[in-house]
Parts: sequence; structure tokens; C-alpha cells
Amino acid sequence: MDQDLDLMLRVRAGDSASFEELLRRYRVPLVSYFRRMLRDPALAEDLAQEAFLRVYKARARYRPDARFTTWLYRIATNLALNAIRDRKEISPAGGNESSDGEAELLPVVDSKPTVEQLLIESHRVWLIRDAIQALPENQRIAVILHKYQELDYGQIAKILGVSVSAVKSLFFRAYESLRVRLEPLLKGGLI
Amino acid sequence: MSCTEREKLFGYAQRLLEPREEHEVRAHLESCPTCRAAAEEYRKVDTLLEEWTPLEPSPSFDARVREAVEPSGASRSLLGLFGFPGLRWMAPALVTVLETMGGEEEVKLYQNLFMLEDYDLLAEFDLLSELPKGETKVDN
Repeated sequence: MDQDLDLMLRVRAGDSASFEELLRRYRVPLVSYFRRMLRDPALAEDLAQEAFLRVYKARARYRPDARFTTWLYRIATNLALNAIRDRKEISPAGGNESSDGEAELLPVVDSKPTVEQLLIESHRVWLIRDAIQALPENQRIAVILHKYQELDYGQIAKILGVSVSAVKSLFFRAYESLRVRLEPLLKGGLI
Repeated sequence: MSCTEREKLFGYAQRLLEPREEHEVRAHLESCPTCRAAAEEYRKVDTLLEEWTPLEPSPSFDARVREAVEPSGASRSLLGLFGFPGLRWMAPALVTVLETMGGEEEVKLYQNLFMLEDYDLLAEFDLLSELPKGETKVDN
């Protein structure tokens, strides 16, 4: 059995040590997920905390009918999307996001990192972050969940409520955009 | 395959294709430098994205999660104490503490509530949750 799923079943049975273990395993992935989805680090941590709280509160209702990470990231994705919509977080480049979550592909040159941002991340990482955060919501989710959180296409399809082939298509379109946005780094011959 | 099938090229670069399709794309790439360069670019994007490494939470994160799921600080210890029927005689002493810390108005606010019966309700009071950890002893 999936080890995380087993831990969650123990949490459901009232074992607080198993919740601690889940916290230990997913503290970095969840905080990273929210920080990749949103531009506000403080909000990202608040949402990661809220995700753990929701997992804990839902423990009695937990049913092991999917992989634990599918369930966890579905909770996290809903929280992130709500926060984005509440705070009207749109692409850092100022791209307009339409009602279906598709943003126009605009150049990233309009946004500049602050000195504080550059202190904590290199300019290259800042460009990567900016390019990913400029993607339309669903593409951004697909890339982050697959590339960084290591979920497979089937899991992402369940989270987004679309088919696996739709996820592959999202992923392709995201990479097409990223290829354009990251061109200065790709052509710089530094990879 | 033709040069216009970018999605297939992407699938090749991401190793998403069935063996038959993969063989087909590989054969095309041998004779098409443009598609070869495009496939290589998708791989480069993939490598580039890996530079954005996982991000550590702030030092207080774990404690905040624990506090959110199972309040265990001052409020919990103080209130847990009153959970025992034998210790409910301490209720008047608590009122004295509240008078000292929060003033008369604060006490008036709490006095009409069945606060010692309901932990969840008590946990909502900021004054109690602000008591230092282990502050369960009350001087009468």
C-alpha cells in the first residue's frame, strides 16, 4: 500500500504521530507548491498551513480511493485557485487572463525583480519563476504538479477534472510558451 | 511524421510516445536538423526548470501548523485543566486573572458564558490564548 495512504489511515484512526510524519514529508513540497503558484511568500505559507489543517479536519471522512498525493494536491490546488481569484493574481507581466483561465502571452520584460527578490534568488531563477507564473492557470498547475511535485498525468487529470490527453496538451502548450519566454536563457548557451 | 507535428516532437522529448511513434520521430530527426533543434530545445526547457529548486518554509511553519490543527499552547493547557470536573472550582480564580489582565469589561463579557464547559468556545478568546505557555497556576 502507498505509504502516505497508510499514514493517512492512521491519522484517521487518531494517530497524531502519523500526522507529524505527513507534515515532515510534505512541508517543503506544499510550501514550494504554493510559492510556485503564487507570488506572495507569506500567503503561500498561510495556504500550506490551511492545506494541512484541511487534511487534518477531513481525516474522519478520508477514503483511500485515490493516491494520497492526488487528494492532497487537489486540496492545495483548490486553495491556490481560490486565492488567485480572490486576490486577482494575474501574470506578473500584466497579462490579461480571460474567463477560461487562458492568459495572453505577453513579453516578460515589463516586470522587474526587486532588490529583495534578487537577494534571495538568482536572476536566472527569477526569469524561470516569472515565465511559469505568467502561464495560464491550468498550464501553470500542470507544469508545477508534473515537473516539481512529480505527479503523473493521470493524477493531474483527476485534480483538474480533465482527460489525460487534455493534460498532455496543456503541458505541450505550456512548454511552447516557456520556450519563447525563456529564449534568452536557452540561446545564451548556458544550459 | 512531418515538420509541423510539434506536439509529437514534444512527446518525443518528454518520452511520452509509444515505441512505434518514437521510432518514427527518431527516424525523422536523423534527416531534419530543424526538428532536431526543436526537440533539443524542449529538453533544454526541462533542464532549465530544474534550477528552480524546492523552497524551505520559514522556521515557524511547523509550529504554526501544529497550533492550527491541535491548539496545544497556553490556552490548551489552561483549558485542559478545567476540563476535569474536580478542577472546575478554579473558575472564580480564572475570573480574577481576567480582571487583572483584561480589566472589568473583559470579565463582564465572559461571565455570562458557559465558558468552562466548552473548550472550542474558550479557544476563541484571544486573552486566554495569549497567556504564556504553562501559565496554569492561579493565585487566589
